[in-house]
Amino acid sequence: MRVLVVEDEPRMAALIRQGLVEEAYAVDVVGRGDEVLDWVQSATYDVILLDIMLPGMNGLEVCRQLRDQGYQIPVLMLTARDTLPDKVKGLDSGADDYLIKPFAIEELTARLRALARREGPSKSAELVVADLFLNPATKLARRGERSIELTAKEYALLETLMRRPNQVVSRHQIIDHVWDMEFESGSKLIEVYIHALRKKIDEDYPVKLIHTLRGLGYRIGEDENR
Amino acid sequence: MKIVNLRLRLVLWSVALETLLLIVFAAVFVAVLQNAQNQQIEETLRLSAAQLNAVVDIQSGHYRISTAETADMRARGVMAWILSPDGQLGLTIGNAENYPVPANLPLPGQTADHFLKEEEIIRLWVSPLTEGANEFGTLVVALPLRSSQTFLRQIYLGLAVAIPLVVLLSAAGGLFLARRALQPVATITHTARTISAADLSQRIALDLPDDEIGQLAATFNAMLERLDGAFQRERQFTSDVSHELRTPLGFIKTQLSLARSRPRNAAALLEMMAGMEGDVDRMTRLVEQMLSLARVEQRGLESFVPVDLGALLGDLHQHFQPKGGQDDIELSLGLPPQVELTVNGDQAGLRQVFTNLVENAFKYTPRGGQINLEVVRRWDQIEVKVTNFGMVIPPEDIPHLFERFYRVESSRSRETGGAGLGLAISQEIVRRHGGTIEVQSDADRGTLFCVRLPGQHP
Repeated sequence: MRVLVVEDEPRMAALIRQGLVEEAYAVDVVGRGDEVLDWVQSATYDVILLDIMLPGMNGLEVCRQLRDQGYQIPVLMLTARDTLPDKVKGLDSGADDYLIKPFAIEELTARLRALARREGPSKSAELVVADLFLNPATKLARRGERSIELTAKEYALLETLMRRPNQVVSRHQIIDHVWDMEFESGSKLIEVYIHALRKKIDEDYPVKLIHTLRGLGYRIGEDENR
Repeated sequence: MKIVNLRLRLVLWSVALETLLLIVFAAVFVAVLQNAQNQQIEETLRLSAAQLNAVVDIQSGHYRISTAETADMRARGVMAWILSPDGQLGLTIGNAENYPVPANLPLPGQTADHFLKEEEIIRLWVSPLTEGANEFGTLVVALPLRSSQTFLRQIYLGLAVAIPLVVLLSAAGGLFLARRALQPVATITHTARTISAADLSQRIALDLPDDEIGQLAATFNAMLERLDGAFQRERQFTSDVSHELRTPLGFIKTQLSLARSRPRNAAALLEMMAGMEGDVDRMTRLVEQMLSLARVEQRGLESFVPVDLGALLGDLHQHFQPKGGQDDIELSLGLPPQVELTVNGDQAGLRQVFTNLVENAFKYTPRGGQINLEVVRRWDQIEVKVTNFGMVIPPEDIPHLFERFYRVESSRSRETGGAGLGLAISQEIVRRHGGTIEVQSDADRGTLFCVRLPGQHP
């Protein structure tokens, strides 16, 4: 999951980034409202965390512009204001949810998970492919009855694949959803993590779930030949 | 009963006054009319007597008169009895033939009223019947009063109908006029009633003439304007304060939740605690500054004592020397020798003003820089200048610099730690001393804060 955090207070932005990175999100931070569109055009975000009081352009306007330009990315509004009219305005401008400052990191991540769930095909809290389960809240995977511990990046990569079961996910998509702007292109990081995931998930099982499609990308699913 | 309606009261008063005036007028009018009538009757009686005296003949003890001579008299209703010198009735003229000679005759030259019969009064006039120097009888001339009484009765009736009618009409007109004149007052009342503390934006429509009520409305509007401004400043201040307090609170809350969101080692926890301590300090500073501002606003002038600015700045200079050494900033103090630098003021307040200015200067002066403190006396004013050669304040920020919570954009992102109240407090204190505070900033001359205070006369 890759998140764009739009927040002008550098300390707040740093705290949010730390909290999200620890939860295996890829995070980019932007401090001005009028720069959001550029960022959204240059990378694929799974969710935008948008403050309302921003220099350049306020969050409500940013959100309206995003929607006007056809972006469906879920937006979570973040603001100190807590009066009812502001909430209504936020939602009316196209935001999907609303979080009032001050907030706890746990609430933020819970809402992000809820937003991701709303976007995905299934409303259940766990992602499921065949007998493989992934819990976004605990970051634990389970194959059959066996519980599997994942590192943050392994989790993020597996999540990206499992949100698109039986679909080809390109290297580019993986980079977009798992890494932030600091990812060095041409590195072998993806292969390294895919290898690690295979070891944890597929090694001991006859039915392999992670498939490599040469030149195209990766696919997760039971059926080998689809 | 107490009448509270101003409109009704106005009309009642004016109607009462008008009725009184009308009654006085009617009384005078009737009196004048009666007097004129009496004079006219007397005139008629006298003339009739004179005429009869001229036309009555006496021949061998009998009085004679030709009917033609008395025709016009009789037409006017005049009647007369002619008595012989021995008191016998000699002749009657007109209606007198039907009635006996009235008793109680008046003296000659006077009038008297006499009941001829019921409802019929006549006025009598007596004069001697003469021819040359001979007196040969007495004339009793009389005129019925019926027609003049009828005339007066009609006048009374007319007045009795007209006066109430006029009063009634004028009351209605008065009500109408009073309503029209007082309509703006009703408008003002209505507007004032719809104005609440939450919405002071309403004003009375000022399409009124510039009369007393128009002026009242204008004054009312001006007062609303001031109230509105005060309320808005208050609201702005409250909202600013809550924002300023909420931001560090938000940091603390998020940091706390982050700290316990997963197991962390001692070093990481200590680092987070240090961050939160910084936020607590920021809030503490803000609360202290707000208290200080409130104190400045409450403190009266009674605490003013003579304050030697030279000594005060010398002390401040001493106090900030170590910080200058620490930050590698040169802090200089220029005092004119042998000049009286005493102002009448609040020692602690003035100290706070100059401390704020010097602290600000430190914030915006880079290492190796310089801050100058200077005091000069110009006539009866004492100027204190704090100059630094650090960052230049953008010209667009200068007019807002002394506003509460105003921060120059570039200093907001820098963690300079100010709440944006220091300069507002300084200005408030200086203003209370009858002084001014000004700022200039450009690349060549640096940033200069100049405080002017009225000096004490030596």
